[in-house]
Amino acid sequence: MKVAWFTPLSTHSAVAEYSTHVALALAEHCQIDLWVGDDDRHRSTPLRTFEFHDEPALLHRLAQYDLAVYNIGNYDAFHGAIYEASKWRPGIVILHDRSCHHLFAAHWLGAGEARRYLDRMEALYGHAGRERARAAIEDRQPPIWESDEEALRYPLVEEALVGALGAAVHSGDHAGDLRDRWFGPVGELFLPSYRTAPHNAPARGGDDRTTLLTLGHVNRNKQIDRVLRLLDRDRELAARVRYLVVGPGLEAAYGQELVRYTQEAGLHGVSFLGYQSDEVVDRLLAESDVCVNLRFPPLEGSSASLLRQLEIGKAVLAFDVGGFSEVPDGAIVKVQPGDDDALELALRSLVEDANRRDSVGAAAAAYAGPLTAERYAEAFLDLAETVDSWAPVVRTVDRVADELTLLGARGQLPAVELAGRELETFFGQIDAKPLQRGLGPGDRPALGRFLRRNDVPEVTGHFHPFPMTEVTAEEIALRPGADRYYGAFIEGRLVALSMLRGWNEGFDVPSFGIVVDAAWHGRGIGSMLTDFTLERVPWLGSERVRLTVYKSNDRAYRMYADRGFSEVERAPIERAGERDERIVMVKELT
Amino acid sequence: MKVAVLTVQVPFVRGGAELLADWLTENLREHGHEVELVRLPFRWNPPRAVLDHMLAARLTRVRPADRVIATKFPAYVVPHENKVVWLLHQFRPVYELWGTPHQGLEDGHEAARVREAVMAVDNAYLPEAKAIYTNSRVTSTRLRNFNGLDSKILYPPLRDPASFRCESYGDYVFFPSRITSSKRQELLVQALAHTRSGVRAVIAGAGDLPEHVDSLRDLIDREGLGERIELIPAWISEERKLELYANALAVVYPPLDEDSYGYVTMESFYARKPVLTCTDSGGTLELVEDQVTGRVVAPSPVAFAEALDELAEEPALAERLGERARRRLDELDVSWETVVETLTS
Amino acid sequence: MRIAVATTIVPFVQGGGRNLFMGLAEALRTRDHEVEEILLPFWPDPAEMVEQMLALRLLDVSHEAELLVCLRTPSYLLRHPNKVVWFLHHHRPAYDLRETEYADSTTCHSEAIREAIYDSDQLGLREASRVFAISRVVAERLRRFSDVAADVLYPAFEGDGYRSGDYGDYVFFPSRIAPVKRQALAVEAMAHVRSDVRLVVAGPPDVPEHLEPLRELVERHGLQERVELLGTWIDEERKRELYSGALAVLFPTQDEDGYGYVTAEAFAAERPVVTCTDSGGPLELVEDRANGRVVAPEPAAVARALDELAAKPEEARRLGQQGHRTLDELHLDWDEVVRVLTQ
Repeated sequence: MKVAWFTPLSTHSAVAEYSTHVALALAEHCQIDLWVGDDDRHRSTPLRTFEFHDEPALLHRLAQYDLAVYNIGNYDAFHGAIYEASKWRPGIVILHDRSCHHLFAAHWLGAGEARRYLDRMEALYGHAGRERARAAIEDRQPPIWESDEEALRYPLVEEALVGALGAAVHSGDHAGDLRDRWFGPVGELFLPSYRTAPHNAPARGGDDRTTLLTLGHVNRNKQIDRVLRLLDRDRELAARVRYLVVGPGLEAAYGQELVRYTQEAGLHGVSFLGYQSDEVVDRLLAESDVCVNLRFPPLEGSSASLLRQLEIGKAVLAFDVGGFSEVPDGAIVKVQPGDDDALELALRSLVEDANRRDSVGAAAAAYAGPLTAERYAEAFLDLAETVDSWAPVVRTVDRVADELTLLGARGQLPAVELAGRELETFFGQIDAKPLQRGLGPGDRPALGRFLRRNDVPEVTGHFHPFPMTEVTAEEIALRPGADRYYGAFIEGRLVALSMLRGWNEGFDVPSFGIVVDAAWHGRGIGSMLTDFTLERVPWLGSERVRLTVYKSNDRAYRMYADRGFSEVERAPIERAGERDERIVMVKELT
Repeated sequence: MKVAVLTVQVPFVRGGAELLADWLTENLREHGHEVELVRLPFRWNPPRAVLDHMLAARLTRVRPADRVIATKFPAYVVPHENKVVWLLHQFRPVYELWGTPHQGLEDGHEAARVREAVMAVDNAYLPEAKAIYTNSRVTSTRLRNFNGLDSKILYPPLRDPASFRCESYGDYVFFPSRITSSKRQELLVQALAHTRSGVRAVIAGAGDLPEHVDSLRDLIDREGLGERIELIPAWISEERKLELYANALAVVYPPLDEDSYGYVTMESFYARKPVLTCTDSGGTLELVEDQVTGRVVAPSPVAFAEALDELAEEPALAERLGERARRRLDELDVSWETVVETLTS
Repeated sequence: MRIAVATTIVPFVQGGGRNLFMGLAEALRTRDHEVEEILLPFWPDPAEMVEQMLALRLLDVSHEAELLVCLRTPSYLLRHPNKVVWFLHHHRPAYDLRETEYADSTTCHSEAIREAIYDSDQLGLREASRVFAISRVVAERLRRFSDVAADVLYPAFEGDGYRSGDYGDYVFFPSRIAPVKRQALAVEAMAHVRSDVRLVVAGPPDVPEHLEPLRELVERHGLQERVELLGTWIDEERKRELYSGALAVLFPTQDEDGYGYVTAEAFAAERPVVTCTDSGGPLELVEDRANGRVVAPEPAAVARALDELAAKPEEARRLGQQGHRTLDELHLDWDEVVRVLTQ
């Protein structure tokens, strides 16, 4: 499969860092190219890059890809061009931030398209939205993006999803919010850790104060002022801690406010270190005892810095919101936002109790450890299969919406709502049962993944009619000839494959075969697909069907016997150094 | 009453269901109703076309009608407070034809979504009808099994039943039908090779593919039956057809798993001729009862030959079965009178 | 060629272009084209129009036909790479009839729905490779309402079987009875008529409620002996008979879209046509004092024209015969229509 991965590549972009790791992991499974949306200094990557930002004509090449993926964050310089590119070719949009308001406002206003900004604010948020935007443009009120609450009230995420085939986010909370706003498939993934080796904690040299660390751009969202006020109130606690605030932004109003407050309050244990390189940040992380990661309201889909902190086994103190809520209790210390008493208690506890810090840190590492880029890549490809299965729905809905627009039907007309309700009737059922059907050419990528994933001894021990490769997948999907292949699908993903083969080789009696994905055993999928397949045989003109099973595969033998298969042949055979028997069974279909 | 008959239109194609809608319209008018025959365009390739046309049907309005009679998918999803459905068949590709070579929809996610949507729509909108009637037990059974819906059988009459006549029980059996593998003309030819009575056969119908007709002809030659079998591989005129029915000893019609009784069966009964069919013929078994209105035998040449000989050697038997067959139609009350009354009540 | 011909119908309502549709389909078939007829219901209740328009956009009728001809609004919303529109009329209640006496409660359209009708008309018409109008009147409306340039293509008229007889003592007015046809004006005119000429009105009312007031009007003016109201369809033979012996044909319809079959039938029977200055389409055939009379839509003016003809039947003949020549010169035949639509 060929994937075009649109992303910033700037050294200053967290999304870029994420992309370099994730794309590399995906490269084990498919051919993936990075389509770069900015012209900053780039991070390094061994993958092929396309600077479409400079050369828009390159976008014509998108037709050669099986899938396009667009990483969207709330910053025009990094994501504006990617948003524009996403209109060329529908794909999966990965949303990194809860609000895209700044992205779109800056993008449109920067291009002189104030009218568009107002129209979209009205289309999505009604008259009130339009008026608020107009007030901002006319300088009667501050820009919407300057207030976290307002940015979240008018997120404009819907804009990023116009024409998309699917969306991916990195927390359940974010996914829930998106599903309220958009009808298409939303994948709930997770931010993977980057697994770069942490520094060893250096010697402290006599300083037995507990080191607290807050990382990231210094702004009100990080609630640093709250911590300072807490230390100010509780001088005893303040004396026992060293609080390091690391990140750019000190020259802005909030940063200045913090510095002034610290000086006036005489909080000597607090240091503002400003922007530091990744190297230094890593060292500071290693040195620190507690990561104070209070964010409110939650703006990011999930936090990369959080994951890093968890992964290296740090005790993290956070608000119980957004992606932070989803970290299990015990692996993180969570308090309700606004509850300053609880915050103080939690901080005290972490400062005073080294054992608690250690156990929380150990749980954090255990939690984050499996969240690898490799696992992310698998989850992403699973999502891509689900999105593929949704494409006919998304296309139908988009087509109906387009026609209504061409007809001049404005949103408030009953016909628009009626059309929506009807489509809901068509596609709104959630059927937990596996879907069984014949395989077609479009199933080639999913089939390729399925075969390679199941190219493991537990499976190929019993099942080996052909090599479990992409080449086989192509043969089956595109050139089955007279032989027949069927699949069982769950949420659009292929979980089992069955076949009736032999006609291509001139046999009259077909051979039945089935393989169920290792991860989906024990749910009756094999039986279901077996029955489905056997029911099709009479339609194919055969009066009987045969199969081969090994004595050691007792469960399968019994399932076939239950379905009316009788033995016609049994022969001893040695497999993988063990003695076994190869049994041929036949069923008559009258 | 103002009655709208809703059916489906596939560009430049006219088949049995279209004819039936025409005949229904005629008969409704004859009974004094004001009828509008509405034919909604429909396509199913590419598969997403099904979604478009299904939605279009749902957005169609025939408000001025006092009663709506809908006959096919997706015409029966048109909303109306006073709707009855006379179901000729559902969208078979997603039901019993799913996963078979006759599915007719290219396999893939699109087909899967179409199936999901069609089933959701059938389950949501068929129950809107005041009543659901079907053309056969097979259709009713499928509706119950797939959609959990009850329906009554209302057999579609022939257009002009009175034109079928019986003149004699002659020396040939008649097999009128398209020449195609699912109708199994081969079975009759092979059976004739096993008969002792010398009974003859007339096989008439347009061939689906030239290869089929050729191989049938070859089979006849190989078995040396050229003198006993008249093969007419083309549509024959109504007049000729009526004459062949009128003088046949019996009618042969053994298709594989047909989904309704088949016009041939009904035409034979009107002509007072017994029908020879097979145990696996499907819908024909709704009308043909072994040794009562015809013969139902295993699909083997030998079994078939026995039944042929029995009738050839005792034409009185053929007459008895044929008369009983004719009475069966009266018992089933298959008439346009009944159809019109039922669908407008 | 494989041609699809499409139109919309209001279920159970005859007229509305059905005859033109049938005529066109037949004309194409007899000229060896393979024709697929597509008649789609369209219920003109504003509350349900937009969803029905969406339904039309979702249909695919393009695959087998090389040409799609669309007649009545809004059948031209159907999509096809080679779409030709033969435009009959707009959905007038949304356009200029909004606030006239011809609007009624069922035709009240909200602004949003009117916008959708305007936009969708433009959409469907702009997609067409060619747009024709059934008259200059309609072409002008297309220009004014929809900003679309259309050529005029008159519907065919089969004039066989119309015969010419004497110019008798009655004026014939055959048409369905509806306010817009102005049978009331004709009756009022008869109250002003001084000669002995009678009036024969033939045609069923669109709605039964339109007939009674007309009868009452006749009674109120005491015209029972002079005005015959045949409030029903009459058969072809009777109609031709009435045409053949009439002094003239009266057709004072208001703002008619097409040239009016009545106009053509009258000319086929060599009868002069008396029509009004605001009658619309018929004025494209009728020229005052050349093949008929065109007068102000006032009872006195109409009466004067009728009296003049009653006084000089030879004038009626002269006008009527010229009318016949007008008809010949126009070539209102299917050959022309088919040629134009399929080129």
